[in-house]
Amino acid sequence: MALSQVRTKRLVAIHGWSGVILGLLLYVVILTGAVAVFSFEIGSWSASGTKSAEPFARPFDETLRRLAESVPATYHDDISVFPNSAGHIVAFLHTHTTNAEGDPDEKGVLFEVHPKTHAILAQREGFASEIFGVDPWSALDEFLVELHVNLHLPDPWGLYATGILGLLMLASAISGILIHRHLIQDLFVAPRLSSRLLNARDRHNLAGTWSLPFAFVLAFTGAYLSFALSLGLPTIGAVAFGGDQVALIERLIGVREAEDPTTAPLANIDGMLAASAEAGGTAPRGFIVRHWGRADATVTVSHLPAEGDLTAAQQLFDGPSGRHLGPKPGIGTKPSAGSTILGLIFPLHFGNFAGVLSRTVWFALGLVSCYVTLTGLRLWMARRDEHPVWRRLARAVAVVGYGLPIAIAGSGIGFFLSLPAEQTLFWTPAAFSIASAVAIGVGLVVHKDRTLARIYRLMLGIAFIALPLLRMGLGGFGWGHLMESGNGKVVAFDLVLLIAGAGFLVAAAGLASRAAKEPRAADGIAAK
Amino acid sequence: MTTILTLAAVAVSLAGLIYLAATDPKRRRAFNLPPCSRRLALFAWIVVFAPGATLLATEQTAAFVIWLGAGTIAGWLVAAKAPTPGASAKSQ
Repeated sequence: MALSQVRTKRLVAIHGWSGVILGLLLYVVILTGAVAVFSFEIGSWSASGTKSAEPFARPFDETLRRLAESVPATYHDDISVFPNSAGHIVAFLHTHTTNAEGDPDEKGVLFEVHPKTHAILAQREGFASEIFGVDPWSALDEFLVELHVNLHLPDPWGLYATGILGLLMLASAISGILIHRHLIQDLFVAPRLSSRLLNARDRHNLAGTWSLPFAFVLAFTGAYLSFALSLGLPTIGAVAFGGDQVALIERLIGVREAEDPTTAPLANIDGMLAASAEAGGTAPRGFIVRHWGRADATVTVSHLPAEGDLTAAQQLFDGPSGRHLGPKPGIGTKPSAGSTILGLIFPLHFGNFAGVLSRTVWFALGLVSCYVTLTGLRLWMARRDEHPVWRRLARAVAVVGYGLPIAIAGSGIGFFLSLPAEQTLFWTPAAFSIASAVAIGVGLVVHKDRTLARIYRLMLGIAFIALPLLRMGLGGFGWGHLMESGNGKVVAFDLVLLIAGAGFLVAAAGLASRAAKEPRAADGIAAK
Repeated sequence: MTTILTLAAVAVSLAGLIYLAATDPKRRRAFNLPPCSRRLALFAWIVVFAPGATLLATEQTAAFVIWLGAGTIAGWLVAAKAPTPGASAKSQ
């Protein structure tokens, strides 16, 4: 598509200014998103492995009945059972109501159960908004996920912010296509070395071009998820359900329309889980019992996708008889295009459909998008580096670019240091803030760009290497025990961190030796 | 199975991408390399996309989506590496 020069200039301005204004925030969301792809693995790693790869390998029926009998009957409305990242079985027996703020919420009792002994490890009663997210073992992965999802801003502003950033990424991708006239011809042109500016432009364009398809996918699905929760559902609730969000959610989930409160015991849950495993093709990952002890009770069993599949079907059972009613769509009670599309949005955004392989590719795609964002910002600054304001902003790009991964690693260090005292809920975010402040402080004090990069790489190297050592040194399991207990992923995670840490130390040393060889060049950068 | 299929598909596509990059006329001009006398671009693009089409045809949707993602990263890495002078002599 040929654009006039005026239009192209206008688009370049939109592309550049939108990036300059929100680019660093976008980088925060993308990088934390790339890390959050491994949130379950990070949770499992920070807890030194899961207790059991298959949470329902041991029959659970007797334990579930014991838990149900121990809580008031009002909490029998819904029983959600799923494993957490430490491998504990979490059972939340609850009812749907509104909390003190008048927002729809779930109230009940949450149990954490050991997957092998079925001993109750923790028990909390209250609203879901209060009793979830207070487990000290899950503090690190939940902190990182929340940072990606809502930047730790209050609801719904955080979701609005990340939704807008998703739309910005989408707009940048579209304007990028329109202003890059030789998209196809330049597909294999490596960054040219003839000038610093041309090299910076080629780097940005090349990475931007190749990452375009997934930039669209990740930006669209991310914006959708943010706005669907913060804007879409409340709006539909207000328009179509007269503000009754509980009724809206029930309609979306697809509960039975005909209520039958007659007392009827639930059939054996283990029989339903076994039948579901056969129908779903994979071991159950969790289940929900609706209307426990009633004639209209249903059990919905969820699974990970079967080998080769992108999405996983839920299996629905009649509670009293245990009869398999067939696969249940994600939305409503009958298969629909909306349910299929929504079913695709989750795996396409989270990349969690094929284990570590798909997560690794999604992580890499996230890193490429980070690279595109940072190189775009640096290109914009480089074109204006004669002006002191832009030079200071260029410094901010370096500080945030290196500072964010340093802060993320810092949150991990804070997590492990505070784990023995079970103070992780406070110290994980506190350590993130402290590490951010240190990174910013270093950026303010050190004026030479190359020295600054060297210090940041050194900090990253030390922090990455410290993480597995702290995990093992402060009560976590060693590699021998982890391999024996089937937690090889934790060992692999340790190794990745050690290798990445060593890589950053080598990179820091490389910058040091280059600075020694080219002292004038280094000073020249410093002078800017 | 998904892992093996995906890795095999990415490997085949990667071979096509490497050939396309090595023989790309604009890339060669930009790095002062002589143009290739013969370039089988269409065949190379078929090699790049055939694994994806095969995965789709055999309903390996997970492998297809991972191949698509990994393929774009592989393409970027191949294209981002500047050609070496030795490459010019071989491809002439």
